[in-house]
Amino acid sequence: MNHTQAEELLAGFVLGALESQERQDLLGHIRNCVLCHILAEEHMEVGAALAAVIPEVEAPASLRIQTLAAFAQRPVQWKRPIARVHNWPRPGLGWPSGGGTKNRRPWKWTGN
Amino acid sequence: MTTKTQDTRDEKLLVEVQQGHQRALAELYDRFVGRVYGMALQKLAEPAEAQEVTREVFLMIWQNASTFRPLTGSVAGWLLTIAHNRINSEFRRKRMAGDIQEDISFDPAAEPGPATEGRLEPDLAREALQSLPDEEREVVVLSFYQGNSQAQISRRLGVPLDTVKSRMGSAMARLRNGLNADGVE
Repeated sequence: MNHTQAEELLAGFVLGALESQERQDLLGHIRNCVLCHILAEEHMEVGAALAAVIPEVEAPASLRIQTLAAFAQRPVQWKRPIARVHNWPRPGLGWPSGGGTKNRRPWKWTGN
Repeated sequence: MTTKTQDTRDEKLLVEVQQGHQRALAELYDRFVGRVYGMALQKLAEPAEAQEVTREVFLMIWQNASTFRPLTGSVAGWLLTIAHNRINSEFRRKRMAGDIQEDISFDPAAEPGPATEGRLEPDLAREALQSLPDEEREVVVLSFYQGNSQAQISRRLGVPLDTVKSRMGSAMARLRNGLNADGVE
């Protein structure tokens, strides 16, 4: 995907209107393109404003307990020292692949 | 959108989350769960399903917290975009499977604003939406609030896919300018 193609998809991405493959292709481009990274962030701020129109709803207390419990059960994946793990081209948005961990960039330890 | 103080706090929390601090993630959850759950419930309607997707969203966010490196954006923008895409995907999957039969009728202009002095973020967003040309507002509502993909909107409106993309791009540019002019950063 080139820069022009990515730029054309950004609006659809923030509006939640892309198909899965288009979204993955776009995110792959954004991770390594500073211009698109900045543009994506600008679009996302608009998305956050649009989301503000949707009324907030108080979630049940049980959801909080379940979610935090799930976090506690997955400590290995994100208990990483920050300073020594960024070893891929920067900048890049931390976009979930949507496919679990299989498509995530590998972590590479650069420290001791 | 959010204040600088909120942004700074959110970013600090995200750093602490990637370090594994449960207290930080609990606070981040508390700050955003109402918005994420509200979006999920608006699309999926069923509380149990909305809760399941909300839980997934927060796990996705926590798993990817360490790769969030903003240049100009905020945690709120990043987090809510992740949430919105996940919720829309789930909505479309369920609709394709026949689990959801009816279209969403959510109309952002019809949602009542809170009775407070001054303009709040939802009011600014509504005003920005209302300022769009009809055909551009239509694609924003059909996608963002009613969960349709670009291809689905193309079929529904009977216009080429490129036209839908073009209208979306134009709408987003106008919204960005409008919201920035209103002091939303």
